[in-house]
Amino acid sequence: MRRNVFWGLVFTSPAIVGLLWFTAYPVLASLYYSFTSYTMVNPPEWIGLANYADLLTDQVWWSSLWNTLYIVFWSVPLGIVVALGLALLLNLGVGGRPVYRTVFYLPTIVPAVASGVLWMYIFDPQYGLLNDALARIGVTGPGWLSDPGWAKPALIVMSAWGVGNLMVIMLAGLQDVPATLQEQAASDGAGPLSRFRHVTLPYVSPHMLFALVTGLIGGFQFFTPVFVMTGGTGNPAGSTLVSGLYLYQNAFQYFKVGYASAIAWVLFAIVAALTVATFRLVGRRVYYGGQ
Amino acid sequence: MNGGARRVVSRRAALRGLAGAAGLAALSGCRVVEGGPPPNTQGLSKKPAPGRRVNITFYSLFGGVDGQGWVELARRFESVQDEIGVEVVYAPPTGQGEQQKLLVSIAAGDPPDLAMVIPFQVPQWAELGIMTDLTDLVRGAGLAERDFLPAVWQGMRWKERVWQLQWDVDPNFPFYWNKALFEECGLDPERPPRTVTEIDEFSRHITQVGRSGASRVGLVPWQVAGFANAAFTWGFAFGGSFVDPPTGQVTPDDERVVAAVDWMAGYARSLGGADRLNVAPPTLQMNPFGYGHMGMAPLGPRSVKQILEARPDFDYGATLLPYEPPGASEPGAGTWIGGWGAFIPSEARHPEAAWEFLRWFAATPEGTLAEFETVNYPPGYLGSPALERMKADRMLKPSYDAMFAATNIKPSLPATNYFSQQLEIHVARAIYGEVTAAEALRVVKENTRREAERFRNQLGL
Amino acid sequence: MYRRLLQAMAAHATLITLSIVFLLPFAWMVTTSLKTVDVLNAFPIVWFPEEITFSNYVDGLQVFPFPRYFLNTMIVCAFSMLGAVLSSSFIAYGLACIEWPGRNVVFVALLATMMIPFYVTMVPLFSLFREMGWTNTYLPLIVPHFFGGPFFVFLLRQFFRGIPRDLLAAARVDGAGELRIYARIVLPLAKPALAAVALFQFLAAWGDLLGPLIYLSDSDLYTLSLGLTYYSTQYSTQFGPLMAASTVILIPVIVLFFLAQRTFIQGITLTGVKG
Repeated sequence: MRRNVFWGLVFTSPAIVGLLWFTAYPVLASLYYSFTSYTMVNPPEWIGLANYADLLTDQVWWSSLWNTLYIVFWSVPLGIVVALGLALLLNLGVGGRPVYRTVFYLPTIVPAVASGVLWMYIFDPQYGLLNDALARIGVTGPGWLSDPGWAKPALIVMSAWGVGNLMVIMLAGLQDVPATLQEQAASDGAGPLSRFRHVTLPYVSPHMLFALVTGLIGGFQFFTPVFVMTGGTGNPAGSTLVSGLYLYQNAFQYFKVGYASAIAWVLFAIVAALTVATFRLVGRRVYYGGQ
Repeated sequence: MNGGARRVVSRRAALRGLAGAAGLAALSGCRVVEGGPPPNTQGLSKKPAPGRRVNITFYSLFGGVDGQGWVELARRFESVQDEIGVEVVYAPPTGQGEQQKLLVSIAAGDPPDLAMVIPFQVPQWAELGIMTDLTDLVRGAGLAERDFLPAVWQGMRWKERVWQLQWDVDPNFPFYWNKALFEECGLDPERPPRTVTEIDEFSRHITQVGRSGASRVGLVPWQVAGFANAAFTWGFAFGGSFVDPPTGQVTPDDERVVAAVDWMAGYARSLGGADRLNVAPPTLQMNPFGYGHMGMAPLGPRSVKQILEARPDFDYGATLLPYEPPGASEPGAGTWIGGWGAFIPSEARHPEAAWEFLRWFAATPEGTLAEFETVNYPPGYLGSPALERMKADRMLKPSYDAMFAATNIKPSLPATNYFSQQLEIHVARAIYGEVTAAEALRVVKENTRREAERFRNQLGL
Repeated sequence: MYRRLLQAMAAHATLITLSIVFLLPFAWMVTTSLKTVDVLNAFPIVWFPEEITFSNYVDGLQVFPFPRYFLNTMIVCAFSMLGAVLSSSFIAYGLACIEWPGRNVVFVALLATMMIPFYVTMVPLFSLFREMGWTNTYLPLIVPHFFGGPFFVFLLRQFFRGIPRDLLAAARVDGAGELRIYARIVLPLAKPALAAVALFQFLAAWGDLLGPLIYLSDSDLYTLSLGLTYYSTQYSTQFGPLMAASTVILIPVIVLFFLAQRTFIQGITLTGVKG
C-alpha cells in the first residue's frame, strides 16, 4: 500500500506541482475577487456577499443562465450522438475511410472567422441555403439568427458541425471493442442493434462519460460562436446572451471583475453539482474494460 | 503495404502539379484573372529608431492599411525630431473591440506609454484611474477649446479635466442617396429628403414589398452600425437627448428618443418585419447601399469608397442627415461625433515623451497633416491643413460638412458600455415588434440607472 | 454477396451525403479565396465563381511575415504538444493504473480547475508570469503544458482504465517497476488516445489568439493566428486574402490529421491479451 502511495504521488507529481505553481494563485485570486469590488485596475475592496446578492436580482444574469441551460441541454447530447454516429459509420469496413475521416474533421479546424460568414449565408432568412432548401419542400423557414425563438436552435445546429474532436475520441474508443466479442454475438444471432447495445456501447461508455462531463464544463463557458454570429451583443433580443458572454462583458466592458468572478463561481457551483450528479448517475453504469 | 511504397514527389513534379491546378481550373470553365493592386507589406509593428534619448511604446490596434499608416506615422515623427523613438506594438482588439492586451498590461502595472481610447469611454476610464490627466499639459502647450471641433473638445473632457486628445473624427452620419434609383422611382434625383417625414414620403415611392420580403427599400433605419448607434442617430435627429446634464442620469425614455425608435419600429412593420429584407446579401465587403436596391442610407466615407471601388459608376448624392421637427430644426442636427482618441496610461514610464508624440499627431498642423497622409483619418484639430484637403475632396466633403454640423457626442457616462449594450438588445426587441418602443426604453433606463448607481458605489464616488 | 454489395453502397451513399454537408465550410473558404472583389460583392451570391484569381494567395501571404510566423507557431505547437503528451499520460497513469487513496483527490482538483472560466483568472495569471519574467517569451505558452492539462488527463484516464488489470498485475508479479509498465505496456496500448492528445494540443496552440496576443509584444515572435488579424481594418475585412491565408495555414493541419488518423484506428488489440 505504501508503495502504491509513493508511486501514485510520483506519477501525479506534475499535476500537483502544476496546480500549486500555475493554478492555485489565479483560482484563489478569482475567488477572493468575487467578494470584492475589483475593477481589474483598482485594488480590490472587500464587499462581502454583495456581488452574489446582486446576482439574485439581476434579470440579465437569470436570462443568461436560462439561455446557457437551454443550449447545454440540447447541444451536449446532440454532440455526443452525432460524434458517435459518425465514428460508427467510419468504423464500418468501407473503402476511402481516411478521406471521410478527414472530411468530417474539417469543420473543426476551419477558422471561425471563415466559417462565420458561411453560417450567415446558411441561416440568412432570405438568401440562406437552409431556408432555400426548406422552401423547396414547401416550408417557410424562420428568421433563424434574427428570430429570438430560433437563434438558440441555430447555434445548437452549428455546434453539431464541429464535433470532430469528439468523433476522434469515439473512434479511438471503438477500437477497444474486441472483434471476437462482436463475432461471437453475431454468431449467437444478435442483430446489429442488440450488438451495439450490449457489446459496443459498454466499451465506449467511458468516453461518453468523458464527453458528457467535458461537454457540461465547456457548455457553461460557451460563447465564442455567439461572438461570431451576433457580434457579441447577445441579439436577437438577448436570446443568445449566454452566461459566458455576460461574464466576459462584465469583466472587459463594464470593468466589474469582482462581479464577473462571482458569476464564475456560481457557474462553478452549478457545473460541479451537475458533474457530481453525472458521476453518480452515469458513472456507475460505465464499463471499464480493465476491471 | 504498411510503410512500404512511399512516393517521393520531386520539386518539379510539385510545381507541375500547381500549374496543373491552374490549368484544371481553366479547363473546368473558370477564367483565371488578375486580382487587385499589390498589398502594402510595411508590417503593423516597428522597433524604435536607434540612438534616441528615450523610447516610448505605443499600442496600435489597427490592422490593414490603417495599421500600416501608424507605422509610417511613427517613422515620420522620428524623422522630425531626434530625441524620441517610437516602438509600435500591434495589439489587435478582440471580441467587440475590447483592448485586452492593453487592459491586462494596465492591470499588471506594465502599460504602454500611449494607447487608444474611444472618446465615450473617457468617463469610465478616467473614473477608474487608468488615464493620465492631460489638463496642465494641454494648457502648457497653449491648446484650448477654440482649437478643436466643439464636439471633440467635449469628448476629450470629463469633470472639467482633459484626459485624451481626439485625433480621429468620425461624423455619424453623412446621408447618401442613390440618384439612379430616385429617378427610376419618379423622384427628383437632385432633391434629397430634409426631414424624417420626407424620408417616409420618398420611401413610399421606392419601397416594393413582395412575397419574399422587400425587394426595394427606401432606407433601413436600423442598419447604422448596430441598434444602439441607430437609436443614437435617429434619437438625436428627432431632437432627443440621452443624458440629463445636471444629474448625469440616462434618459433613453425621453419622448423624442421614444418617437425615433417608434418610427424605426413602424418602418420595420411597413416592410412586413425587420428581417423581411431582400435588397442585399449578408454583407461581406460592400455596404448594402451599394447593391442599388436601397434609396437612402446614413453612411461613412469609407463605405462609400468601398462601393466606388466595386461600382465605379455608382451615382450618389450626399447631404446632411435629415431631422424631424419639432425636436430638431435643421438637417445635420442628429449628427454625432465618434472616432478615436489617444491617452497616456497612468503608470506609463515616459509620459512626457508620450505627450510629445501625442500632441504632434493630434494637435499640431504638421503632425495632423502627417496623420491624414498616413493613417488617413480626419483630425479634430481645427488648425489642421488636412481639413482644407477634406473640403476639396469629393469623397470626404460630406464628412467635412457633417463634422461641422455635428453638435452631439455619444452619451458619455461611467456606465457607458452597459448603456450601449442595453440599447443594443432592447431597441432590437422594439424594432422586431416584441415590445413597444416606450417599454423597451423604460427597461434600458431602469437597468442602466441601477448599474450606474452600483458603479458609483463600488468606486466610492 | 449481393447483400454485402448493397450494404457497402448504402454506407458510401450515407458517407458521401454527409461529406458534402461537412465539406461546406472548407469549400466555402477555398472558393472565397479564389474570388475577385467583384465576385465577392456580387448579388445574388456567387457560390462557384466563373472567374478565379490567385492573386489573393500571391499578395495575401505578403501582408504579414508568413515564414517567420509559421516557424514561431510550429515552435509553440511542437513543444506544447510534447509537454501535453508526456505529462498528461504520466499523470493519467497515476490516476488510472495505481490504486492509492489520494488519486480521487488529485482527479477532482484537476476537474475543478477546468470549471473556472479563463477570463476571471487571466489577469492574475498574467501577473504571475510577469513576476517570473516570462512575458514576451514563449514560456507561458509552453511550460504549463508540461504539468498536465486537465482535459487531456481526464481523456487518458478513461482510456487507461480500459486496460486489463490482469495485464498490469501480471507485469508487477514479473517484477516490472511502475515506470517500466507505464512506458512499455500502457503507452503502446494507448497510442490512439495519445495521438488524439497530440492532435488536440497542436490544434489548440495553432489556433490560439488570446495567449500570444497577451504575452507577446515583440512582433518577431508573433504567431499565425495574430497574422490572420492583419486583414481587418476598423471598417472592413479583406476576405479574399484572409481566406487565402486561412487556406494555406490549414494545409499543414490537414496533412497532419491525415497522417495521424491512421493511428486513431490502431486498436488496442485486447483480444489477444484477454484470449
